Parts: sequence; structure tokens; C-alpha cells
Amino acid sequence: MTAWLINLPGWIGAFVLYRLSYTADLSIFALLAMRDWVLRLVRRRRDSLRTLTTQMIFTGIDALPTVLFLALATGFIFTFRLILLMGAVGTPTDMANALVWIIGMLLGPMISAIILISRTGSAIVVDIGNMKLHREIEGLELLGININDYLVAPRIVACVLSQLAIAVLFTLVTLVSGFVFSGLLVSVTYFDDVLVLHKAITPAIVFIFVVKNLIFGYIIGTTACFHGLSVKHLPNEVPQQTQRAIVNSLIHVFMLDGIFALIVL
Amino acid sequence: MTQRAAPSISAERLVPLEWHADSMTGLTLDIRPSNVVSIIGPDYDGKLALLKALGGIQGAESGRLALFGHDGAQMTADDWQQMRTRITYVGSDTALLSVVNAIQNILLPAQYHGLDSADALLNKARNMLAMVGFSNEEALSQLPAMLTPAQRFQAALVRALLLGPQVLLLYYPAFLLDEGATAALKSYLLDRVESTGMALVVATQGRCYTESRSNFILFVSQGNIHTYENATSLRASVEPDVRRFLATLEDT
Repeated sequence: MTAWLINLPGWIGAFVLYRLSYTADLSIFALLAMRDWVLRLVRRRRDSLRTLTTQMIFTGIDALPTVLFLALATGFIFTFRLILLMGAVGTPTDMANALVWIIGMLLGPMISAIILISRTGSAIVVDIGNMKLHREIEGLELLGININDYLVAPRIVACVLSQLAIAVLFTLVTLVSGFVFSGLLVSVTYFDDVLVLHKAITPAIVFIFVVKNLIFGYIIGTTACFHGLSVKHLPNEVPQQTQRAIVNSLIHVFMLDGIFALIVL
Repeated sequence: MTQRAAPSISAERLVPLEWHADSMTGLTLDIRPSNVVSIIGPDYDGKLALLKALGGIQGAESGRLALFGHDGAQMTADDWQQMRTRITYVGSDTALLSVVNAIQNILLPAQYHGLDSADALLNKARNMLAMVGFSNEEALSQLPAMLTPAQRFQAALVRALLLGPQVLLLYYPAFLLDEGATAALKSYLLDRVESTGMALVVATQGRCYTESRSNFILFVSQGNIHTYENATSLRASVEPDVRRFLATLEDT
């Protein structure tokens, strides 16, 4: 028991140092990738944008059915019940404020990030990891292709834009569907309360929403590419790095969400 | 190009990785435009390590390497990236992208570097594929996993040649291509050496098809390198390893 207590600060310290070191590695990796991509974009290479577009289609557009379904489900599970609860204890304005904060600022970005991590983040790790394993990336590098520019940065940018787009769609559908369910299942007067939502959406809230989602997307894309490129020699490293990417993405997203919660207090 | 053109590759006492530097003096050699260098011998890993060391693809145990006058030890990652379009490597270990088909693989690097329009590159690629003996047009729309090893090698080769390299490092497994394709490949590469000044460094398992045209023949065996200026001096060598190797080739 004593030994455990003595070792505890060391474990905590080691964990903190590992997290800081990992975050630093990730940040430098992302900065170098974006630097190479921006430099090449300036030189107007169309294939950079083509790669980005392809990744956006996979990351964003192909995910739409899943996002819509989850948004409707969340609308029914959370928004509908929150509306009934808030309707009983406050005015429509109070209800709108609470919904915008809970759904728009907390639940929407978080669930969108989880969708992106599980769907796109894992796919990126497997895709890049297998390319690394089979030396396809080495083949491209030996022909002068910058991997940061060709593989990494388009995926990061696609995740950033997709996270924002998914979060906007998810939040809107979740909010509106909650009112629709309330109107259909409880009372038609709830349909009118939808119009009060816009009063709760201030420029400050929009700004924080956008910044938060951009950073979430950046973290998810960077972590996935980082772990994909960390695959070295063995096939079983691919699922290992996939698992690490998912867990680390979730940890960073939750930590960041906590930091945002402190900032907006 | 004249023999006195500046060297494309300049190696000074170069010892490839995982060779025992203290037991050999290393390779000192200047490879100039239009030079053909053959690397032969029984040692597979040794030939590949030497080929990659000459191209700066793998590091070296010791010695100095300069590419187009630039000291390899001083080059940054960006410098190396640019150098790769001038010195390209193709070997049996070269992998194509598994998620795009053969023709997309071939065109990708040239399109990435913006060398020409898509149509022009496609025409060039088709011509080159025909010249190196790639005869199955339908295979171009297949994924690499559906191609034969010979077709993958030919696709990787054309992918590299489309960049117009000044030096081609080629690890050519002698028995990968059939006789007709081998002859076509040899003819095309030697024509390219003459017409464009490209230097060719080829390492091969069996009897090197460039022996008759080589400016230098490097015989690699058990960590040792013997340099010969032509096939005649190679055949006249009294080194036991060389005599054994040549005798083995006579028997096959």
C-alpha cells in the first residue's frame, strides 16, 4: 500500500510527460504537413486540390446518411426530452438558450467528433498504415512525391472541413427534429418555439462553435495520419495503431472540450 | 555527352550499410551522363545495398557520396525530394499503389510534378510500355494485385522513366521477364542512354545484359567490390570469386 502511494506521483508525472511529449510530436507533425501543402498550393498544383476533394467526398459526403440518422435519433432521445423538461420549468427563451448550449455547444460537436473518429479516423489509419506496411509510401517518396503534401495534409484539411460541416448538420437536425417530435407527439405549440432558437444563437456562440469544430477536425485528422505513418514492419501494427489513434483522438477531443468549457465560463 | 561531363554520381570510398568497413576500402567511382554501370555477382543483398548506396537511398557505413555536385551528407530533406526526380530507383522491391490501377500508378508521379498534360503523359506512357515489352493493354486498367510480377516491374519502370531521370538505378531480376521482353527492355534502355544522356546503373542476378556496353562492371561478392572497365577484363580476371561466378553462368 505504501509503495503504491509512493509510486503514484511518479505514474501521474510519467503520464503527464508522455501526453505532453506526444502532443508536441503531433503538433510538429501537423505543422510540417501543412507547411508543405500550403507551399505546394501556392505553386498552383491542381492535384493537391483534387486529393482534398476526393477525401472530402469520402469523409463528409459519404457520411451524410449516418449523420442524419444519428441526428434524428439524438433529436428524439435528447432534444425532445429536454424540450419537455425545459418547457415545464422556463420560458421558451430559456429553453432555446439551454438547447443551444447543450446541443449546439456540447453534444453536437462531441457526437460529430465521435462519428468522425470512428468512421474516418480509423479508415485513414488503416489506409495509410497498409500503404506504409507494403512500402507503397516508400515507392512514392523515391519518385520525389512529398508525402506530407500528397497524403497527409489533404486528409487533415478534409477532416477539419468535414467536422465543421457534420457538426453544423448534426446540430441543426438534432435541434429542429426535437421540436418536430415535440410538436407531433405532445403539442403543436412547440412548432412555434423553433423560431425562438435564432435569438439564442449569438455571434460569440457561432464563433466558439466554429473554432471548436475546426480544432476537433484538426486533431482527428492529424492523429489518424500520425498513427498510420507509425506502422513499421508487421501487419498487426495496423490494428494496434488504429486503436491508439481512436483512443488518443477521443482523449484529446474530451480534454479540449473541457478547456473550452473553462474558457466560456 | 562526352566522357568528361561532370559526374552525376561521385562515390569516394563508399561502403554500403551493413558491410564491414574495416575490411574494405570501399568504392571510388564517378558515374557520368551516358555511362552504363553493371553490378553483378552472387551476393543479392550486397548488390542491392551498393545500388541503393550509390543513389543515396540507403545510407553508407563510410565514405562520401556526391550527387550532381551536391554532397549527400549536406543535403536537406527538401533537397533529397527534388533529387529523386533526377535519380530514380526501380527494383523488384518497388511497390505500386494498391488502390489505383496500373495506368494511374504510372501517371501519378509525372502528374504530381506537373511535367505535362494528362493526355501527353498517357501517350508517352503507352509508347514506353510498348518499348519495354508490356503487351497487354487490358492489364493497364487492373489493380496491381491483378498484374503479373513482370507487369508490375514494367509498370514501375515506366512510372520512373516518365519523370525523365538523369540517372536510373535498376535492380533487375534476370528471370522476371521472358526473353523477348528482356531484349526489348535492354534495347530501349540503351537507346535512351544514347539519346538522352541518361546514366544507367543496373544490378542483376544472372549474366548482366549490359555487359557488352558497360563503362564499368562492378563485381560484388562477400563484401568485396572488384571494378572492371569492360567485359573482356572481367573475363580475364584471376579473382577466385569472379572465376567461380562466371563458371556458374556458363553452366546455366
